[in-house]
Amino acid sequence: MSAEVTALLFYFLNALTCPIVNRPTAECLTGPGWRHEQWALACRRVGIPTRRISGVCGLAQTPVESEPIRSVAVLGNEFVEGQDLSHAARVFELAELACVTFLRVNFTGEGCFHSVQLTPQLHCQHHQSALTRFFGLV
Amino acid sequence: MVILWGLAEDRPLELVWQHLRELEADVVFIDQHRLPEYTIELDLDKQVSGALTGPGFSVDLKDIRAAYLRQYNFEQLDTFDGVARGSELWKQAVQFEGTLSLWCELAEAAVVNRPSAMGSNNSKPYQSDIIRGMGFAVPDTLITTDPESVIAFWRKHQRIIYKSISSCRSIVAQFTNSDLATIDDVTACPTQFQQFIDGVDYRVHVLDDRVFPSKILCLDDDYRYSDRAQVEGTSLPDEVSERCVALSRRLGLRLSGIDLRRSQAGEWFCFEVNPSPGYTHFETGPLSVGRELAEFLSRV
Repeated sequence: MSAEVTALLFYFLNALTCPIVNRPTAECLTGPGWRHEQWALACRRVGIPTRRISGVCGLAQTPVESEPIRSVAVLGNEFVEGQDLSHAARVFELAELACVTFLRVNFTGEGCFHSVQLTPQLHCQHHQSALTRFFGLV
Repeated sequence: MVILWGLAEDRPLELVWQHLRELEADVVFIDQHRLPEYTIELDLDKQVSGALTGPGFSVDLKDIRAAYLRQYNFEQLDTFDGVARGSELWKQAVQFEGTLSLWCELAEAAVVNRPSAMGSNNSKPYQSDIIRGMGFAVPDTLITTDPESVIAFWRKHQRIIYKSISSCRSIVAQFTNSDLATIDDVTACPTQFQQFIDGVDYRVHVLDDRVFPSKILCLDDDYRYSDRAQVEGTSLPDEVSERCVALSRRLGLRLSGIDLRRSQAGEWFCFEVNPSPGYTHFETGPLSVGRELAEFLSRV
């Protein structure tokens, strides 16, 4: 049953013509279902520094820090947070490459790619304001 | 080097393997029954590199020029009977298959078919929009959980069929009076209903820019589950062949199985594009999809 509802949602959300925060893909309803390694490669393509990714049977090397230090988030053409960080502007290019409208890239203390988030943080005022503008509610 | 990934008893994969051996191609068969015996090392520095190792072999990933994928859900295999999710054996299998899938997605090799390209089939209505956009007719469709809508749709078209929306296999069946007794079941799960198209079935396998059409003569609603289906090699109008090639390319597929029905009025309807077709059921004509696929993989 979940496969049927997911199939329906994929079609329905893709067919909408209103603004959407991250159109679904066949792999994921909230945007590209990329693995960490695919995001890392995409970061390299747009010039965001990444650590070397290697391992046996998919064990990607994790950054030294267990938690990211800083983040840059974009929604449409707008910075939501972190625009003062180096490489911040490249996050727009990464979003375009991944075909997403919202993208939050987390960086290590050394300024390397750590991880991404595709879902806005609705409890955060900056994200709320940006979403309000994105949906034309202001 | 060509890699095959799946089960040795899978007939489409087995046939390609057989033809590759006849062509004396270098082949590595990743047998899912033996998953615990394989490892893959992946390095994503300046380019995608690494090694694939298994019983009696170790291959540099850069030497792999082509891959044919027909993998099944490993959890349902005998090898993993009683293996708990989260156990080391299970995790290793998940990681191996995930990493191999990743390589299949990123590699410069010719992959039949890349994992991301297989996804459109996960949603029939989504795929139908693409099919319609490429010039094929698509039956009038209703997706609903409302019994009254089903009945209204049935009255409108007189003859309708129903099937699953996702890629989960379902037996296509006509909606009849006897289904009225269980019509309320539709409230439990969205279901796809379509106008019934009276006509002749065709299965067209597309390999790159070549088509291999078969005509299916069958009185049952779903020839795939009928023992009365007769398959014969055939030809298509050039325009339909070209449309099939364009559709397969649009979906990012090197190999596809396209289900067509030519209506009594001569209109070509397309029901579905299968990204991992079981072509062996249709090997009746002079051209063998299996042999052509093996030659394609070995020539890359």
